[in-house]
Amino acid sequence: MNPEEREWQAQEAAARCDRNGGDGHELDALGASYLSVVRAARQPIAVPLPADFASRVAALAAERPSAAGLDSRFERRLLQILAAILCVAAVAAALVYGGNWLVATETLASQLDRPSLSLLLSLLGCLGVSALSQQLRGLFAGFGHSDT
Amino acid sequence: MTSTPTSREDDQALVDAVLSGSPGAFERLVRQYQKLCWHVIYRMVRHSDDTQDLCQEAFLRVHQYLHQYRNESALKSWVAQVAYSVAKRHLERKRIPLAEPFADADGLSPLDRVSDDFDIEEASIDSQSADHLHAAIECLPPLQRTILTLYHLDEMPIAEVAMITGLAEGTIKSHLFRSRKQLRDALNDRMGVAA
Repeated sequence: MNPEEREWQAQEAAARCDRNGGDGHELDALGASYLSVVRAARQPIAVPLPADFASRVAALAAERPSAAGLDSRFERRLLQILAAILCVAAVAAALVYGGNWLVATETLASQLDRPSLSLLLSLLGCLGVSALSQQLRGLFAGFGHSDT
Repeated sequence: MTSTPTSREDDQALVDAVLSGSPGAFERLVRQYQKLCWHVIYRMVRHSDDTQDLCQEAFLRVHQYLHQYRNESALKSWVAQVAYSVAKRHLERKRIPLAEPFADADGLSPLDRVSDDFDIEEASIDSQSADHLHAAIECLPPLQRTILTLYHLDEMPIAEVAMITGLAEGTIKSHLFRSRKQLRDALNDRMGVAA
């Protein structure tokens, strides 16, 4: 044990002794030399706390809103402002682009009424690949079980 | 000890009671931790009027930001952390250094700064050394005084003192070690002179 470590242990032994109400007889000379220091450090602070401190502070706190209350009020107000902005934006967009959207929707609806051959073939291809992959997965799973 | 030990469940129950506006809950919280708060701030600022104002400010901050307490540390440490930061800001505003170099750096020990008008003849050796030590502790820089008090008077573990002050545990141990050694050496020198 190096000298600093030994001194630290002596300081801590003196602190433990004082906390346990010991008189220092169990300490070695180095530890005993720290007893008065740790006793002084454990002495209560001479300036007393006012007797009515807690009730006074609690009364003051009751008069002030908490940050949690302020936060929730702020968030509510912010949401209201955002909702109002969204409504205004939606109305403005409908007024400006409404005509174009109507034309595009009508075109799409007419195409869906008469689906092209290529669209139908693509759809069938997708369904076929999906079914094949399901069958292959089942086949490999069967091989795995038979190995064990 | 300044407050009875409480479990995390007790802490959370008290916090929930305060946040839900239960009558008397905040006053109960203040009563539970007022001595700890007082110790931290008084040791930092050493002025009773300032201590009272700052202690009040610390608890009002606790009340205002209690919803941010996450029960990851003991409520006691969280309150002490708020008190420490309020006192630290006060010292910074007044441009008072938080920590100063130790005696081996500036050649002055805390007891060298204690007033020389102390009447050695009047006091017994024991009370004389105790009085000198109290005066010497008062002469330590704010950070060292506070660490000594939190560790010895409030019996807080080094890890909690580190959390409160925002310093590494090794730094707390180093401050404790050097403060105690310096106080002991200076007292020995003084008593040697007195004898």
